[in-house]
Amino acid sequence: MIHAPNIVHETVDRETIVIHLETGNYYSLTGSGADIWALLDGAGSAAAICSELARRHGCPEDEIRGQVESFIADLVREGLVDDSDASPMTVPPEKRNGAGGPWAPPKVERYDDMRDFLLVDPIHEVDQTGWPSRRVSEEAAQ
Amino acid sequence: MPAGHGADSRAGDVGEHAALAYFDSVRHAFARAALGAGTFEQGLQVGDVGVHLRFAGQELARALLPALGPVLHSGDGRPDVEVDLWDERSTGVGIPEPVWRLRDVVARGDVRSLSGGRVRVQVDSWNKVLTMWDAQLRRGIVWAGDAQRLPYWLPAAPLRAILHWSLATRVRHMLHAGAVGNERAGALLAGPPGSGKSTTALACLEAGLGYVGDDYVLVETEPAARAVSVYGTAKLHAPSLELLPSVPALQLSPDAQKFVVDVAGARPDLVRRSAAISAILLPRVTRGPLALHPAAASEALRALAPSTILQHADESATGMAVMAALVRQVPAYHLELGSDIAAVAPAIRDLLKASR
Repeated sequence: MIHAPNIVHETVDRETIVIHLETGNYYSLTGSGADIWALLDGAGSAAAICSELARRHGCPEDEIRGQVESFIADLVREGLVDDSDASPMTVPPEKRNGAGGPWAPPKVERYDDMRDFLLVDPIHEVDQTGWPSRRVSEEAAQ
Repeated sequence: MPAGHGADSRAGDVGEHAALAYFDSVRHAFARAALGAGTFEQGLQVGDVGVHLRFAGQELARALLPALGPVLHSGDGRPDVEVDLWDERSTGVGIPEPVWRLRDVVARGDVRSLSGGRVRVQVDSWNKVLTMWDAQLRRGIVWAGDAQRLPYWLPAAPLRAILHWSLATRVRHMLHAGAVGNERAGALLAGPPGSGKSTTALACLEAGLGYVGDDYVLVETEPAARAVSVYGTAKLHAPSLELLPSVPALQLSPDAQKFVVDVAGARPDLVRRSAAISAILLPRVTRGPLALHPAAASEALRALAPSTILQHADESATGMAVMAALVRQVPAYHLELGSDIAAVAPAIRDLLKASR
């Protein structure tokens, strides 16, 4: 599993902010969400991530699996993560770190208040006088 | 693969070679416009970057230069960045047929398949403005269909894409934020449109706190967090204008949703070229008494990053890293503006005094 293209992200104070450049939605990942996000970056399958988090927090995998899988499914549905089959089955050694402490369920919060900030949609709202020969270009492309 | 830029290639994508060839043909169009209409040249100094603007004819210069008051410069020495600009209506010279397809243009206006490459493009089909940038030669070109029919917000903050592309580094980025203060202490004002950034910035101007910008400023994170003034204008809704009697509204076009005021023209003594960033304020329009309370760094990033990045074409990952570095090094506060505009500047002044 990898982070999808067309997103940017940063983690500050154990909260990850992810921006989807094409939809204009942005997301806040909290709890164990920031850790899962870091592990998703080219590192592992859901099973590998559960196993790593169980080790870090000293809790049974069964207890957290449902939460982790549902969190990852949310990210896939929002187009933030590519659900690829090529994911390694284990978390690579360089990713096996991170704080222990008590387990905090991962949470994702979606914000869509910035969508209007994107410019008008060039396909559907373009000036009908046709700059720059839009119809000709599009017809030629068909 | 780092997230942010897809390396996928689809049928219909425009390659760098085609984009460079198109850039050349647009430059030839500019040369024809310049030959017919003559040229008008103007230097800008933004932070330590010198920009040389060469307009074909006067029309576009008349529309775009007034807002750039804080950075106009005599332009001595070799510029870091060169930009050619012209409008079609006054020169009679248009642009060649683009090489990309409109379905390759994302909503924000950049061409998807050129993202992250040497040639950057921003297409504003609605307002008929094309902006291109060659990152290797550090050369830009801007074409507008009609300099007299630009939307009100464009002359209020002109050349944003070019400035964004030419100024962005690992430690510097154009941010969607206001800024007030002076070289010793200052505040960055972050938040979505309507949160009260402009009102706060102009309240500080009225109180003599120093005005750097209300909507877009250049922010540097090293050697110290600093906001640099780029535009001398402010955009305000009518109710905010009534609260600020000493700043007259100078410009109002029929499509304007906000009033544009020429702050640098009205109060040049109170406009600062730059200010330290010792706090990030997240204003919110509220009733009742003014209140200031600490905000988490992640809240500041949420206030700054989405609106900055979704407006800017390209360079998003670098910008996000600059903003993350900023919120890690500077404390943030929620600023509930309250009903008494006169209370805003003193509260900010007290906060900045304490932060020195």
